[in-house]
Amino acid sequence: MSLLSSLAGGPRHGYGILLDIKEVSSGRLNPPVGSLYRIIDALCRDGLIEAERTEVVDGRERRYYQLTEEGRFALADAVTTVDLVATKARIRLNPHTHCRPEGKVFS
Amino acid sequence: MTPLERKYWLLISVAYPPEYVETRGDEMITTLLDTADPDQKRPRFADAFNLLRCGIAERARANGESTRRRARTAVVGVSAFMLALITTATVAAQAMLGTSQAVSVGFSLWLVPATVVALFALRPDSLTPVRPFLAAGAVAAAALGPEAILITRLLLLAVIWVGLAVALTQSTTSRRHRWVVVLSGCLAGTSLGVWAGVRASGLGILRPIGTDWMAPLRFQLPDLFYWIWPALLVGCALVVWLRPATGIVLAAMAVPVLLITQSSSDGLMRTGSTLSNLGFVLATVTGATLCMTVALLQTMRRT
Repeated sequence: MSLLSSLAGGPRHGYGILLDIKEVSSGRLNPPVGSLYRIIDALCRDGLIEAERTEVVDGRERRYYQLTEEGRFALADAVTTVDLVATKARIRLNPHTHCRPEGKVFS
Repeated sequence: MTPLERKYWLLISVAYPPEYVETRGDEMITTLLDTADPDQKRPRFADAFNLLRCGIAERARANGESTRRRARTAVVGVSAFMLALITTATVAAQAMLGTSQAVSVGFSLWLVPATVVALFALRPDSLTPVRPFLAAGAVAAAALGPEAILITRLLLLAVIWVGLAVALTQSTTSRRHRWVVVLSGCLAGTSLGVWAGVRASGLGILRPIGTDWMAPLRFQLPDLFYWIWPALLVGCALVVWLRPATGIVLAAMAVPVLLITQSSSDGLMRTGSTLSNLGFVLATVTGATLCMTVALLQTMRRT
């Protein structure tokens, strides 16, 4: 989901994805390169992302990836699910901030 | 090409299948070099481990699920065979040398056939391809077993025999259970009979049984190492079963480390058993190496 979320902002290459994931998660997520490409491969196979273009910078290859239409739907679906779970978890963790005291009338 | 880039290329070429390196290698190297520190000379350990793990996983994925299943089967089967062989050889050597002192080496290995039995109960078809190995182990145990007259060895062999017999029957559940019951009964009866015979008679050839048959159950600090070996092998087999790539990489790193630790520790603390330690270490290394080689070959083999 982090990877899909990263590509929702526009096409990125491998290192760009890593930097974005790290930045968005405030350094909590820092996937190693091998794992990153495993996920990229899996998402490509599932048709959620695709290679957009390939650039050669300083003699080295950079491939940019972008979300497919299917990937956008999958991300939106995942975000909704996570949002629901997170809201529920927040309520359960801090029940008093989300509940009205009994008998009190709010205007 | 910088030395770091060359090392990354080497790592990726070893870990990943050639087709993958051809299509993805350049791109991965670029990303790896982007993430490297400016003064970095060699790949970080975590990166290297991750690349090896992901590379083996990619090989396994490329070769399909059947290869993963074969690799798991090979690890379990070859482990069982090698350990049965090692145990039988240890037991036979002790019997031939007339050693009455109980050695925990063979005793601790019962864990492995026990695990094979458990795996067989869960996945009866898992050991089918390695039946010839198991048959050879069972024949070896049967041929050399009677020489090992000490009661502890007999009980140990009973476990191995039962384990191998269960693996060999390969039939319906009821037939398997019948074999287990019959063999367990026969071997338990034999063991108890021999023990009773020793107690009742004064036969010289059976005398060692009465000497210290509980010895292998006692623990000393260095003995823990003997438990680590089978635990490691069983653990490796189970991890390989669940996550082949991680298991194989872990085993490849853990075995040499443990080997060195055990050798140095035993050398310091068990001066009297250097020869048996050395023999056991050599046998274990052979077994572990064979297990991992077969697993790697099976995993990397193209379908």
